[in-house]
Amino acid sequence: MNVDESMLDAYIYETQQLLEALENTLLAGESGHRLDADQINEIFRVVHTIKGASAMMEFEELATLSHKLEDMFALIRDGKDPGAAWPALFDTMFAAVSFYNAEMAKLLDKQPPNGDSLPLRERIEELVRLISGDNGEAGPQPDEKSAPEGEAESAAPEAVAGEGKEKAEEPETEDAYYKAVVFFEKESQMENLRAFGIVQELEKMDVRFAFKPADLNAKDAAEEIAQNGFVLYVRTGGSIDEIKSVLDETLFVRSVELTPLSEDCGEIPDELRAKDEAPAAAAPAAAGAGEAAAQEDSGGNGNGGESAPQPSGAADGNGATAGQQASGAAGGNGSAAQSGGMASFETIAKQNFISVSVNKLDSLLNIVGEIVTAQSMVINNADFGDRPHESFDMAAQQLHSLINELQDIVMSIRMIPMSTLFQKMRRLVRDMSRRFGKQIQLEIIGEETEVDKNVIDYLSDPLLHIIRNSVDHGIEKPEVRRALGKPETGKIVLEAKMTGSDVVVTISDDGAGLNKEKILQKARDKGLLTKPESEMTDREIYNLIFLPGFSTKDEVTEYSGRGVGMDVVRKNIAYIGGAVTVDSAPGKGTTHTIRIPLTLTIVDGMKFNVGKMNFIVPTVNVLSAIKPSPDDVFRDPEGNEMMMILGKVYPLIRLSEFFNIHDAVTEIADGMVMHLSSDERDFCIFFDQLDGEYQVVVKKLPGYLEKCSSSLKGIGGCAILGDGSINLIVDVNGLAAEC
Amino acid sequence: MDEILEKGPGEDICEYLIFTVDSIEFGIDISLVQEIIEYQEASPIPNMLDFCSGIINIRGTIVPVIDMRRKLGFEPRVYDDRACIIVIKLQSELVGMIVDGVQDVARIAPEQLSDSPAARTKGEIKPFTSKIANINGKIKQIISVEAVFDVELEGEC
Repeated sequence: MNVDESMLDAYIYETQQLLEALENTLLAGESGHRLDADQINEIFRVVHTIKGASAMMEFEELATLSHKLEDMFALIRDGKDPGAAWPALFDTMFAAVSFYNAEMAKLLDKQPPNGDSLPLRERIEELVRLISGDNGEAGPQPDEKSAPEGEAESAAPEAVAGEGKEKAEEPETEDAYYKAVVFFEKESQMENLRAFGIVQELEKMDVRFAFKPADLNAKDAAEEIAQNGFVLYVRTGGSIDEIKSVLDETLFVRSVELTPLSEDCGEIPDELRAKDEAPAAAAPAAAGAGEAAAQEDSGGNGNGGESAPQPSGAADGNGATAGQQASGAAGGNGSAAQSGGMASFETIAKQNFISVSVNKLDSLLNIVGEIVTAQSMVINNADFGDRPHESFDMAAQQLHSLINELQDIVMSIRMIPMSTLFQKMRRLVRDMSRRFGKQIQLEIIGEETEVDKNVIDYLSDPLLHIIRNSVDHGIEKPEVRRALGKPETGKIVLEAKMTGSDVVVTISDDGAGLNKEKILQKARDKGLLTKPESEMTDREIYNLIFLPGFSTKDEVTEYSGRGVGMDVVRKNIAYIGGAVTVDSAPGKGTTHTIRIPLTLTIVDGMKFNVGKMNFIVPTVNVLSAIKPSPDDVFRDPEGNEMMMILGKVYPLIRLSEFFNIHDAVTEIADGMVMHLSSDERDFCIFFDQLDGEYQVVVKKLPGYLEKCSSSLKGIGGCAILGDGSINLIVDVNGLAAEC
Repeated sequence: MDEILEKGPGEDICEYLIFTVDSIEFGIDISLVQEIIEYQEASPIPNMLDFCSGIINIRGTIVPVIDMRRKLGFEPRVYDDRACIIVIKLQSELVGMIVDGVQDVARIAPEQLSDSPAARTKGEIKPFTSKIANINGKIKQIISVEAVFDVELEGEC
């Protein structure tokens, strides 16, 4: 195993998670035009964590940028209200998120993160000047203010930033010895590497130190650190707070036990003492106490955040050192709370999720399918004959239910909610509406809908394109909207829902709608028309936009109009077996509808056959199955067959005719009828025989099958049953469209 | 399977899987062939075109199967256990072709190949055979996979 690589993977994964959280917080904040105290703390923690992780991975640019951001948020957290600078702040933050994301993308591509963060840093510095300057006179806003703690408050950001300037007042000047025992999170793994990170940090500082185990590359070093902790002996002339904050900022640190050692303590390693020139005085009790108080806190989960003053720190204060101590406590306190928050972040990212290659899941799924088949071969084995085998049956039953469960789990592993995809669109809409000077509200419905991982991947680009088009071409500028009597703020609704065996994603806007004439003109110019214009329905005209090389916008913008967009949309969606359609009403808006069959999912279905062909119809669509009486079935003069059920008449489709099956039952009295419900209407199908209920894995039909059949309408996929037989899954909505 | 080694100059030699349909020997570029399996009855599909036999299940993958007798215009017959299904990969998807039997793998040098004269095309049928190989006086027709499986199918659908 490549240690560096797996650490890098973990770093990228965690940072991306954090960036996502950051972006969501920013978006939530921007709608209120400011951030509240919780959001500021949240952002502070995220930035802080990114900084720590980036520094550990030695990505200097990223770490420095995070450091700047952290400084800025420390300022805001401590009561400076950006006031008029909020919009600029949001812009800068979004730009920073984009910068980070770009760097993560580079890392994923195995490229070095070589982006230059200088322009961003300058913007941040500018903001910091603005924020601290503007509010010097205005005074801090009470509602933004957290934890008023006298002079400790102003010292806090510096202490957190690890600069420790307030220590100038510190009376202690002589070298002091400390022993620090660092324990890492149980799940952190590679403790020796984490410890090495600490060593690297300390080397940058003006301190002398030794550590145990001395050889971090030793085979059992990680084990020893996990068991006994990473023991550091530090000798410093300055404040221990700096070291403390380094330790606290290290990733995955569970606890730090810091104790001052007296000079003559036998525990101090000789190497540290040998370099000693001036005899050290007794350890500063005050600082030690402050540390102890802060350290207690680091064990907690940091729920209180920075806003809760620590009674323990204050209780220890006395006399001349009280001020210093309070600042130490506040500093330690702040970072302790962060490390608490950080730890919980880490735990979420680390413990609850792992990333697995989809290929592995695919093979897992295939194997499970094979196990199911093999199981039925064993259980129904002809060698058993007619002999009774009770205990075998019981064992087989147990095996059967276990395998079912396994199948369910494997299936659910691949399902992820749409929310990640949908949230990305928020950012897009935000950025684009600013650029185009439009006001747009994005409404998201049904983001909890779960779909297969593949579907998410292939849906991402189409959604981007469609939403770009809606913002760029669809929604009008505010003044135009006002003139048209529409609300100035346009609206885009992004909705996902499940209907039987499909996931339907609709994107609708209340913009100008598509221009029929312009589309036709364009199609004519490019020679894309395949039938006479007079015969085309509005819908057909609108759907011309999905043809390759079609774009109605004359100028090319940064976001859309390259003329490849809608073509890509159609291709991507077709690839996962879906379909996309567009409908529009001039002046009212445009609605795109994407229908994706669940390519990999379990469906509860009823099996039936028509001649030799076996079908499965999703149980959700079945209203009832009836043994029909010929009296209830009749034909209208046009030859459409219908059936009366409980006094109501429904269209009847004979599947044998529809699918062109010759060896099927033809007499109504000999077959069965199923009453089905689809999105649009209820109808009946006529088939031979019912064959029980099954839970099946839906598989996509091979694309090549299109060339083997004159029409696959009404078939949504197929499924392999336990006995290896292939069953076709009825696409109820598709069938409904045919009657 | 025995390999017929035709010694010729190096790289241009291609390998072909030789199979029979109605006692006529055909060859197909072996790099397309994934596996050869025993003949098995395929499940029918709706509105099936006549050259298609349906779909089969190969270890969890659904594979459409083409009946080469019908596809190449021979009399259909009931297949026996000598028949097999050659599974080939077309644009990342598997497709099976039922043939009367598989013979061997032949290495054929370019000089043993000649283009099929266009005159062979009779009426509507486009040339399924793209090249003719002459190996020691024995004729083997190399099928054009594009014609048999792809381009030709467009029109018939």
